[in-house]
Amino acid sequence: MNRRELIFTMLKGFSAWLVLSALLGYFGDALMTVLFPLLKATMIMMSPELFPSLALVKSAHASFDYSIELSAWALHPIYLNAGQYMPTGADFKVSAHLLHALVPLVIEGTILCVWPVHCLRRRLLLIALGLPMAALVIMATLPAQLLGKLEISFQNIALAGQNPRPIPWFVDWMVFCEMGGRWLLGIAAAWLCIQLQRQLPCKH
Amino acid sequence: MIKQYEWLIFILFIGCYALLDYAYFKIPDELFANVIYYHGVVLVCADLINWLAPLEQVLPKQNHLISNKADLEIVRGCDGAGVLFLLVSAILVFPAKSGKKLTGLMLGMGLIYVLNLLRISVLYFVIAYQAGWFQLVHTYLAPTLMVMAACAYFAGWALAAPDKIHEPA
Repeated sequence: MNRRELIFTMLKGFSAWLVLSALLGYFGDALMTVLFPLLKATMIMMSPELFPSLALVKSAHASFDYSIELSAWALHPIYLNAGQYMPTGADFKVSAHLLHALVPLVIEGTILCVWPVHCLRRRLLLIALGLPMAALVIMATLPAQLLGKLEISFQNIALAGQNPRPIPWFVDWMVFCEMGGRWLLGIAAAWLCIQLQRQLPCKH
Repeated sequence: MIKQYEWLIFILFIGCYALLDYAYFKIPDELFANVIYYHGVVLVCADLINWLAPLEQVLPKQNHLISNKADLEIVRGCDGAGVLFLLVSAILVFPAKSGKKLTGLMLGMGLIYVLNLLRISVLYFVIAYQAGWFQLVHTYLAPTLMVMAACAYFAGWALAAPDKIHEPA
């Protein structure tokens, strides 16, 4: 690749980012709604003591954005420390921004749109591989973000007493993802799609 | 040569990122708020904003940019560290000579630092004048554009580092 091709690729990348951003601006809420059953199943596996319910709520204070709202019911008493617990049936709410959750998808999608390939079929194959991979990335990040926020609110109470409940693994994972790990996941997902695409046959 | 070791390079890239992230969390919050963010980010952004818009009269205070219109707090993660770690990891594991890597790292870190100062200054104006746009800019536009800029810089650097080390045999 020479300098001119590099500049062309960068312009293509910017255009792909614009198009993907516009698409997610219009269809991001529908896309996320389709993923809700998978996200709920992931959350049940991560935190069996809670029954999650998800909803998209138009943000009151933010333009162009929805909140993904998690309502979770305690299926068993949740012990916070030696003296405090949340009773069965207690209802908790936390939320995350839809656009924030879609950032890894945009990074992955933009890379897949500009990665040099031999023909259009290869590009379509890359994008087709990218869709389930993007769903996996969202499943790896969003449930941890929502449950992690909930756990932080538990910990704020738990730490006030003796024997606070242990911090679950997904809080560390959430912090890693929020620091930039989700971007790494987007790049890693794109790279895996590229590797898979190279292995698959494609008729010219 | 690169193709043979792609998986290894990729695993090293992730490992390098994880190590940088781990080291970052070993730095105490107080050091960030009172020293690093104050001298490295808040003072510079306050000067930049006051130079661009003198009527703003932004005051730097610890990790806050304060004016009568906004109070922008710089917290852990708002320093561009995530993008910086991605870029540094990519340059460190890419097969090139040490001199090229050093140049790439210095220029790359400078680029991310400048972009982050611009991001924070823009966020100040957004929160001061168009608060409804804050989430869009903060959680979507700024991070995606910064990652894209880092990817573009890395691609440019990798192409401009034509060492024999990654030429085909």
